[in-house]
Amino acid sequence: MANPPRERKAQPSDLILLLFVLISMALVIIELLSNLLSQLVG
Amino acid sequence: MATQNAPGKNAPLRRERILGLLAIATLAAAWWIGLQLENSGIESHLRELWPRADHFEKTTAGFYAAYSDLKAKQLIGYVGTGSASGYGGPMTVAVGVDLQGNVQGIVVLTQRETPVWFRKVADSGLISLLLGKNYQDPFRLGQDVDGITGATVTSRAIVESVLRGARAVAGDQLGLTLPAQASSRINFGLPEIAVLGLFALGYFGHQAKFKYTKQLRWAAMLIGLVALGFIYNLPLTLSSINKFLLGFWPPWQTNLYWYLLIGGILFVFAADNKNPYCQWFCPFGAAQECVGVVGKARSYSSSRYRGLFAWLLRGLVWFAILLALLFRNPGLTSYEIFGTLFSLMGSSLQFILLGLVLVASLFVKRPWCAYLCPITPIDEFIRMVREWSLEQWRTLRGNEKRSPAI
Repeated sequence: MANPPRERKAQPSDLILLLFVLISMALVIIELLSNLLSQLVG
Repeated sequence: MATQNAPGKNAPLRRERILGLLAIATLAAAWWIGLQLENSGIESHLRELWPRADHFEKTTAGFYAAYSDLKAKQLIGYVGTGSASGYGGPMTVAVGVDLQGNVQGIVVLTQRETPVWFRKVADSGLISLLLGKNYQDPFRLGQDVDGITGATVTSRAIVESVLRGARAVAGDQLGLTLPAQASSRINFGLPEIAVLGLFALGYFGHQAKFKYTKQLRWAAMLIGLVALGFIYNLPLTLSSINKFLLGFWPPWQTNLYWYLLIGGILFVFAADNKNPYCQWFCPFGAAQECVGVVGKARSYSSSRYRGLFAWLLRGLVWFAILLALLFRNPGLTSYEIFGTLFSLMGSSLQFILLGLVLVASLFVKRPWCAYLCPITPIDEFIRMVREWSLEQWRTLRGNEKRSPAI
């Protein structure tokens, strides 16, 4: 029996997860930068 | 065959180790640069502290005398500094004190509080309330000074550092007799008992013969959720880790909880290579699992993006620690949403993120822990260093055994 291919196409669930991670990361980075701005300004 | 494959198999490990070393080197550089840039100079604030004075003279280390008339040299008071431990680390305040020991001016020289909360306390008028107070006053929050609800640690740090500054001037410069100080008591209460109990539960739960590990783990998680989350809001955060990295070790008598929690985690890691906290009693992990029970969430790992997610998180945490070390402010980049859930405190962005994570928790088991928690890459890093050190140790021992005795 041949081994199943290692790389598989992205599933819809993969893409939803990717979207969740990217949106959350973006929110975290904006939060970090706004804190940094507060520190620099005042 | 095995030896031929080894270099290829070890390549990702070697890459991880090199990147780990680079991360440590850049963080050490940020720590050093932050130290050089830190400016807690009192000189530029002297006029602000004593607007009536037109001349200042340095007396002993850290103290200045203020004169109202340069020619007649009429002494009107002194300037000194006081420090206390705040939420993010030590806070230093410069205090102008008149000849009777009354506080006449206050300037915060250095502080490491979370920006939003420090601003809230500063805008509340707490500092103005301290003006006119005498060095003999008790300076106690809730008694002769009103603090700010939800920012008690920051309020207390301001009040204590002003008191210490005023008493330093009164004792060292004015030669006044200081009131007897109560010795600092060891703070051993319910949070400390809870954390010790949770470590004990974890210990029993990991015994090979123990049959009810699953049930015990749920008990530990629920205790963690209620006690360390909703009642005391004391989860492990990036801020606590940054604080220790920066060397802002708070007095153990009043911060025993943190020493027990961080010390206990490191001890179990060193002895057993297990993280006793995250899966067993992290309150936010427990909150996600409780939500997950409702939605029948399952563990999900994307084979396609697993590497991308791991490296995105590692990069984010490296950046967050780097900024905290550079600005010497542990709370500056603590982006967790724990306080947002347990105390309903946080920015609008943090509330949006909390909503997103809780919705995701319905379907995926612990999404925060897997993709966003700063503790995850730190956990991986500690494991990597431990494994690497053991490997070096074994190699060294092997070489010693092979080499003939001299």
